[in-house]
Amino acid sequence: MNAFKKREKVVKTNFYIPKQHAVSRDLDQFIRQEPAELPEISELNVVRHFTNLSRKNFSVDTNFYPLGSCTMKYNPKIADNAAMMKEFANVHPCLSNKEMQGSLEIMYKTGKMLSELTGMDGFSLQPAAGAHGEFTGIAMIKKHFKETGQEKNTVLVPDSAHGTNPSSAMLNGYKVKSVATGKDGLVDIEDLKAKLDSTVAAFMLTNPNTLGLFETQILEIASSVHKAGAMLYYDGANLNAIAGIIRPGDMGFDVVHLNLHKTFATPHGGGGPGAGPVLCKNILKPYLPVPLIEYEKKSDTYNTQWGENSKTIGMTRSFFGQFPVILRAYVYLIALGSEGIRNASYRAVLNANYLMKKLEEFYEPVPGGVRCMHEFVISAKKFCDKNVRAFDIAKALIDYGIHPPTIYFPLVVSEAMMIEPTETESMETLDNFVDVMKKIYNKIQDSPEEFQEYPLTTGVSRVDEVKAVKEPNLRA
Amino acid sequence: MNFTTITANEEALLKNEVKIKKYEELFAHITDSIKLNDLSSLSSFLSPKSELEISSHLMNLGLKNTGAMKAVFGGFGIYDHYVPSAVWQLAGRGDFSTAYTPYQPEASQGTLQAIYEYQTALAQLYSMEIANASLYDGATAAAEAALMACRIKKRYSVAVSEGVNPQYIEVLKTFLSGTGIKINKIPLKDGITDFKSDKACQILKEEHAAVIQASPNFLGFLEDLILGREASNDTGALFITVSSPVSLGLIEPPGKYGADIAVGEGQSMGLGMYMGGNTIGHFCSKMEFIRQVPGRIVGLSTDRSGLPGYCLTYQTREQHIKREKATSNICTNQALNALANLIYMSLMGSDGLKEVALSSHNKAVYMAESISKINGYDIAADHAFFQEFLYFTRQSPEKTLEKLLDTGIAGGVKISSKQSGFDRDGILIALTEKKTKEAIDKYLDVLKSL
Repeated sequence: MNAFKKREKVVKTNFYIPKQHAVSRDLDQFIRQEPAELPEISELNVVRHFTNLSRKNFSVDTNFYPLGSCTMKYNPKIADNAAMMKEFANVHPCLSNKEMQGSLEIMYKTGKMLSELTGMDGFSLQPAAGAHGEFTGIAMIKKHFKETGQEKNTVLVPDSAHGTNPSSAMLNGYKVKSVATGKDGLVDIEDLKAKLDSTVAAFMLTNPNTLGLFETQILEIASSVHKAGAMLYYDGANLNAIAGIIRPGDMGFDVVHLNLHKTFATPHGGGGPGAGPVLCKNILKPYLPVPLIEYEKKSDTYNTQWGENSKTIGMTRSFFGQFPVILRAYVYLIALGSEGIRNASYRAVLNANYLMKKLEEFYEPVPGGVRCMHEFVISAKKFCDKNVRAFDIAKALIDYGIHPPTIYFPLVVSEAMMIEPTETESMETLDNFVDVMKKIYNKIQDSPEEFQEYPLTTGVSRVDEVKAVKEPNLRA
Repeated sequence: MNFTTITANEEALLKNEVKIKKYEELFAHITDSIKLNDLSSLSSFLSPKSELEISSHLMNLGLKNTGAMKAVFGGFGIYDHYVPSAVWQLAGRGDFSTAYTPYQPEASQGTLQAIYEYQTALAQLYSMEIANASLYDGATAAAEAALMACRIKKRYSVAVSEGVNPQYIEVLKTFLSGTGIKINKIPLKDGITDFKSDKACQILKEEHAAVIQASPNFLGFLEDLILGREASNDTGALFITVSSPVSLGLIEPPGKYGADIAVGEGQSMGLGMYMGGNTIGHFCSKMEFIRQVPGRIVGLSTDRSGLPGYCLTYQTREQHIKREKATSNICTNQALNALANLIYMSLMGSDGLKEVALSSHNKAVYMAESISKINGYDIAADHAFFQEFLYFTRQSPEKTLEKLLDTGIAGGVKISSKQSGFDRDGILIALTEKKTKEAIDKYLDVLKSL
């Protein structure tokens, strides 16, 4: 059922708010002539419609969800409860600082904890998502070079980078050049050095990288980048591998964005809201977006600072940041403490290595034979001669009640399947996944032709994505 | 709390399988010099807390938000509208909230259909042909609209009315600074965009990619969008509008004035205030521009057996495929807030939304008329407004707001003469259906007493 197809003509006057009378002032010129056609259904049918819709989803709450690079860990319910508290929901952003000390304290302390965890000196919680954080961090770098009179027009990214990296650099007006990945799955240092000239503003890197491997030459990378007069940018999508163990600041990174909806256990929401805080070393602090949140020890108060006459890049969105998401991350941070954060990363890496070990008999890890971090990539290339591709294996997994891994990413691996189990999954769940992957392997040997039909158990089978573009239907 | 609990026995089995005794060995291939030896340097962290401890800790923090208990008359883009109980009982379901972006359509039909219905509801509300699956907030939606217009028109300047919320203009500057696109500001006269002023005519003589106009504008006044459309035509630009979606229950939508791109902030429809941190950018456009639209779009197609099935579509615009050639860098957007907006609109229906708009408007009119009758107070200008208006005070705005606060009223937002274009500083005040007559009269009593 589509909420728009069902029109009961239920009139909702005096329902959610008291009944209103006619317009009391002359709005004639502006009055809407035709009402918007919104669903007109009873509250019960609204509730049924959306409850039934929700049941058509795979989610962390209902399924194992080893989606690589997305860190689909358990999202604690206490954090959701906190986000529903009216003491936080009813805070208008234009209140004076003294009227919202609780919310400001939460934001400040979250920023402090994240700064310590990343080894950085300053923070902004304003960016609304990872890509927004990337835009912000690169804009800060750009402003720094502008303020110091250096002309630079290029940003380097590894060819294995998330698509948002080159895209965020482009949005800042930079040319993007790609750095090759070596056979070992790590940045090709020679290629990096060859491309590091005086025009390069930054090198954007994820560590561990998108193959789930730690860039062990990171100190050499950092010194090469800095020697060339460029900045080193940390994409925090994979922080869950190293939180509380290794800090981007100690690796030589100058600026970092984090994804609170990954490492810090806030629910992803089917595509947001997330939050992409930016943290930086002192050299970039003057350029942080405003408003900033500061603590004054003398008066024991938390204050907002709008940065008049400062070198800030300005505002990257309205007001302070995605507060309900930041609040959930704060709850997660205080629930675990620093030791719990470190243990979570240990377990995430252990779980991933366990799965990789168990699967390597049947599937081909890339590059193979090395220690992975919190995730790993397998290639389904060897099944291509049976006409079974990563895409088909993904669809087969759905029939076993498992959300597929990330497929066809990173782009440097053909038929890639990127698997990230996270630390919150039990051994039983991991073993079940291994069993399922073995069954799928056996099926590929016995009846590869069946794979074109999967999934068979969902309400909707394979959706025609070509038709969706050729015959666009984007609204009822 | 610790969400990773396994038995000691299982842990030993896992470690044994990967041939380690201690966790540190998983990191043995990494140079020790970059490892954090001592957690005590993370001094902002406290010892782990139980759920009970966290709950009481949050209670205490909540109580420090004294403003949350007061009657809020602030607006400036964030409005205190009523949130029906069903909105978050439904949107908060784990099946929705703990899902990822719907890249696997067969396992995500719930999220996908919800976004499709959200796109439908927005297109209806704004009277536009299509809507995307959401952007971060109204401000970034306006900035993305400007960038999109520049791509379409292949021009590198935009004209923006100073009636657009000043924060939106700040964000526009930040977004456009990297690409060197120029921003020209069209000033207000008497609180309304003056397209006929010398400065405006001067500006509009040049070619622009877009003209951006807001109605209601940030001072609450309703503006004639025909004028913005005409100005856009004169300079060969696309016409971008900024709307308040609740107002569209009552007010003629931007599509009726020929908007090419219509954006708005959806916080007012079921999202709460959260220091302005639970937002959603509404983004609607004409179908002809589909390939330049930023962000995700859901389409309805069919599955193998011809049954209706939803999927993400026009993905070749997006960063995960086009990388530096994408229409935007956005990946994660505000999907759950889109769902909450949709549930809100489904509960309200068009009659319910009209009532919310009408109630907010009527209360604002009552308040404005009452204020104008008090000696020494003036409403900034006699134009039609929706739910928000600017007034001038007997004593300074700061002092007035302070006195109101003493009586438990968060009385609004101070707007400087520089921001408003009027010759005095004033107070911007917003009314919603939540404000009772008692609260309004109490506010008026304070004004009288000053």
